[in-house]
Amino acid sequence: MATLEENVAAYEEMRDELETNHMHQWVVIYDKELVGTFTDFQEAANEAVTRFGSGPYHIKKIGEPPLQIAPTLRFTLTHAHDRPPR
Amino acid sequence: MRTIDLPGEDQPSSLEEWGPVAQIDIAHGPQGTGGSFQFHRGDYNALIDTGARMSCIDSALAERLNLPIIGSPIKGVGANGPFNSDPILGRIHITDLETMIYGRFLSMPLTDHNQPYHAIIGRDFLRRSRFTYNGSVGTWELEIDPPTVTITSS
Repeated sequence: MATLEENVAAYEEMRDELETNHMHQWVVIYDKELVGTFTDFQEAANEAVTRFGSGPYHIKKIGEPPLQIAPTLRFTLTHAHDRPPR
Repeated sequence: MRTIDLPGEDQPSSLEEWGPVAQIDIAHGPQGTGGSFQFHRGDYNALIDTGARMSCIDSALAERLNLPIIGSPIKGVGANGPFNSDPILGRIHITDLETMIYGRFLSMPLTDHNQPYHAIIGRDFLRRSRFTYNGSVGTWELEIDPPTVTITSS
């Protein structure tokens, strides 16, 4: 069984063809093979989980640039070891 | 211009201390297949965080629940500097609201950083909702329709 990194690498090898023919669809890569292209994330995730459980598999929106998170997620130790009320 | 003195001594402190916190369950599994997935019911809670671009699940909890990693690490910048975070497939049930969030979350070391939350519900979910924060009386409201929301942050 291929690792997640190998599945990501397999996507990169297929990327030109996928961006040409399936731009903005979602793709599932498992064991370095293209499982399918899907119109939305739910379909892709359902297929991946139903067939392959916890994976490893790569779910990716074709043509999506690498996600980056802006510096808005703030960590604080103000309440370390405390618990919020219920 | 109105001026507000901080902290407001006459205001309830819980919301100010902890922020808007919701009780949740966390699981993974295919969407829309009813009982074929299993929630790992536990003492979990989530912070509603308008400062978070993506929703997050605690990385230690995600590993324990075997939530699948579905892609390359996502780069981010936090108050402690740059970080890499794995995108994971998960499902959060907000117990009080009877609302399901399904999709791509970030795996973040919340409990390892002594955060009192197991998940952060960010703007990828809030974009589908109406969130009202009433600090003057110490309450918050979250209205969402439909009750199941898929998030991908794309």
